[in-house]
Amino acid sequence: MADFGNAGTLTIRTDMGGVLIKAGQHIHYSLTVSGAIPIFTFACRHKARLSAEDFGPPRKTYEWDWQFPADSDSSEASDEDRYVVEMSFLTALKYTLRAELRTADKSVLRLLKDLDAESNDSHDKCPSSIEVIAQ
Amino acid sequence: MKACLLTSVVLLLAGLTAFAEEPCSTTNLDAWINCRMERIAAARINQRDGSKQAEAPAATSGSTTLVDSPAAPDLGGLFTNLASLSGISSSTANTTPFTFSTSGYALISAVNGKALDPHFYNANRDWRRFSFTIGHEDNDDSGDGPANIFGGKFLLYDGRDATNPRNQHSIATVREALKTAAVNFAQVSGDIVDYLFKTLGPAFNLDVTSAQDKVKFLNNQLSSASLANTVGMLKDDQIAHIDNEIIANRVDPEVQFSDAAVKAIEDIRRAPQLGLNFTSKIRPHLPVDDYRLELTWAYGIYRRLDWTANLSYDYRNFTDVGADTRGGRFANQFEYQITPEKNLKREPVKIALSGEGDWKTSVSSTYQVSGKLTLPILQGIALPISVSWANRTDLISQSFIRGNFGLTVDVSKLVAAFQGKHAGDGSQ
Repeated sequence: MADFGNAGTLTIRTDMGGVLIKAGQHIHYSLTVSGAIPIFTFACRHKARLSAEDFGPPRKTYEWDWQFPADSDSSEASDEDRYVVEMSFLTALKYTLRAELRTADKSVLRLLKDLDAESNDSHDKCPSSIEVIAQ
Repeated sequence: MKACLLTSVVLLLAGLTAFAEEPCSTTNLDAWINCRMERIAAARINQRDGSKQAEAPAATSGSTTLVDSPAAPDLGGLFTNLASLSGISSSTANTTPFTFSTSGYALISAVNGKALDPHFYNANRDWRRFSFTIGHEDNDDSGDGPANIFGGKFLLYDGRDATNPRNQHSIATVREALKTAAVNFAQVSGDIVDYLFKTLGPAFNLDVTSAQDKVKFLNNQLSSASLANTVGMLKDDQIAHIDNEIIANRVDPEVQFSDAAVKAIEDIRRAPQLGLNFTSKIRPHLPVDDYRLELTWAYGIYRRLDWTANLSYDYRNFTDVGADTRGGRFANQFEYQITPEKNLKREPVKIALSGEGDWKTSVSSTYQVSGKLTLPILQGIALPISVSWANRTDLISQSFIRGNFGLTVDVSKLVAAFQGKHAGDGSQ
């Protein structure tokens, strides 16, 4: 049985489903890709926030930060949102996703995600999400 | 009779098992939700309604193909003929070619181990235009004995390379569909988490109004280790609520992504390829060598129907003065992919019909027709079986039928499959 799609496999080292965050902290994402052309999107419940093409030509590793509260959607009545990294295997074979909760001075408070998603089937895609709640 | 009945029951059970729906993966919460969304999207789609050559070059007698494709596998391909059955009773029936092909890209990426680095893959696209073949065959239809095979391919135009600018529109469509699907997944998975927390949270003595308790629930009850037990607590009507009330009305972005991906894959696979191939057969024990220079063309006519054509100049070099033969060859193949790839965990089954005409000096014209069935046995490994009929051979002017049973290995697909298996073994 595939973990996702037709032929996807997940190797999970760390996979937190939710995190409490304080003002000044941020989540640092790192996505390492094997294949021809990475296709992924980082999104919340309200909008697509970042995609592979926003970083320019294809590369092996993509890194970005999500700052709290600067990058949160302030229109929300409650201080929680869900963030997903959705990865397509149309032209890529493997993604390694890491997400860390960090302080303003970039010290790592907690490892939130550390997983590999692989598929040989071009139709497959794999989401990885986390609930972020203001403390 | 008993055995027959037992076999029928076993086959029926095997068939029922194959069609029975597997439970959704509980590897993690995202996988479980994604699986439920994909199934409902697949139902909506259902209600609404491979081309690189790892085989030996066609110039070798035991090849299971009459025509050569313009492209070779990115990393490498192996071919051997397991059996050759011929209607002619001479030593020429015993042909057992073995060939290995690799690309220029495989050689340069072997040096630094960056074969699957996207930046390297895109920056070195032109190295995938070159490929080389070496091999050996014991004999061929000419009966001239063992020959060493050397060849090369140069892709003049490769519309099927994902990095070709021609394909960027299709890829951009998938990117846009993924953006919508990602936002949708965040919404749907968020609503499912809210529902699970409100429904099951009290059973774990959690306060459903507390943010801290919600995070505890996410990281404990919905963690990879506990997910199967937690969702196992849901009653049928609660599962139905998730499927029908939360997911079913919001699968359109999933359907649109699936449509965009299928269309992009078909567009890329149907794109034209034009190549220049060279094949030589050098016989160390006889002063007779064969050379072929050919233009190869591949084009997807419609969905899973592929057309490949070859236009060749053939030259046979004899040491004896005036004995050389020259001529032209024109071959066509129409290949249909019987099984769609998305429903299999392996390569598709393919069937092909091909025809070839040879016109050479000093030899009567030769015409061949061939049928081929390619059966995948594992990712990257296939068994091509072919039957061909020719009006004559180089040696005798009588028609004959030959059957070939081969084995092809696409190294890049095999490596990818092993990597996937390795990862699967390590998954939770």
